[in-house]
Amino acid sequence: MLYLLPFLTSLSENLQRVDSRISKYLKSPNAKQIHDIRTSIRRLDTAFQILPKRNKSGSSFSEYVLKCKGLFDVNSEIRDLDIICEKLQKYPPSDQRNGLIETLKTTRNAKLENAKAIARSIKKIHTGKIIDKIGITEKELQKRYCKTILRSVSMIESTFPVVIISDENLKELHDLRISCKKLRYLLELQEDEKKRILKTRKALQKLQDILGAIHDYDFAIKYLVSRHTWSNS
Amino acid sequence: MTMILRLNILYQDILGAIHDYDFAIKYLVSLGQPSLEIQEIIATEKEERAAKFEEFLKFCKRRLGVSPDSFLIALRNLN
Repeated sequence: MLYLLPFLTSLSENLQRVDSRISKYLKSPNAKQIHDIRTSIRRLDTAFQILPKRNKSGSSFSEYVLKCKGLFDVNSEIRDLDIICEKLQKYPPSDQRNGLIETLKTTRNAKLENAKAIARSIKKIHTGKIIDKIGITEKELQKRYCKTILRSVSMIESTFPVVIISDENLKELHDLRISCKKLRYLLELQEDEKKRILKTRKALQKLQDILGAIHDYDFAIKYLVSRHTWSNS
Repeated sequence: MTMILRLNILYQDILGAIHDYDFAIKYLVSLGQPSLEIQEIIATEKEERAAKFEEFLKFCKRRLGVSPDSFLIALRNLN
């Protein structure tokens, strides 16, 4: 079960995470930052997709997510080029191999400049009030969450039989991977909620300990004061 | 094993690696008329990709059967 308040909190955290990772990315666009920015955008998009249609078109949130997806796509291309370079570097050096790596790096750098321009334009968007404009009821959220999970599960179930019969169904393999990823992020929304409950429980336990100790002091003080009064009389 | 962990193994460790091989092979093939050296690289990448696909099939055999540990049964139980 996914509840409204924790869900909105999670959305807000996702927005903040994307924003802070874009800042880090602009400072140092290395492989780690590229990975981090891609995962944070994926998480944000997964949560965003649960929202009803009225929140997903023409809103400032949809505009923000759309730009983020643009950044995600360019970074995916950069990541793929990095992977090819990494693979080629495993092989013995030669003029052709070195030439290929150089070409890949030049393409990569051009794409990186494009990605940085998109990242800068996203940084200019004010995200402060985006969450406040979301209008969704608890019941609607739970219905949409279940529906989204169901869609992912059914996609995985229908793709499995196709991919296991041949190793050449590249599109289906890709679709299966994306569906698994999406399902993981959807399930993690509930995990986040469990973590929050655990955190609240720990905080309550601590508060209980403190209040218990204060109560013990109060009781002891009251007892000692009464004894003092009694011995004076 | 939790569903999130299973999904991680499946898409990140196995399907992610297959995707990387596919992308690299597609790029190298797209160069057109590759030299012998590049042809050898393509062949090696294809071999490694085939091994990864075997790993994927083993994962499926282990996890997709009718057993309490089956991945698909666990998926169905999500709903």
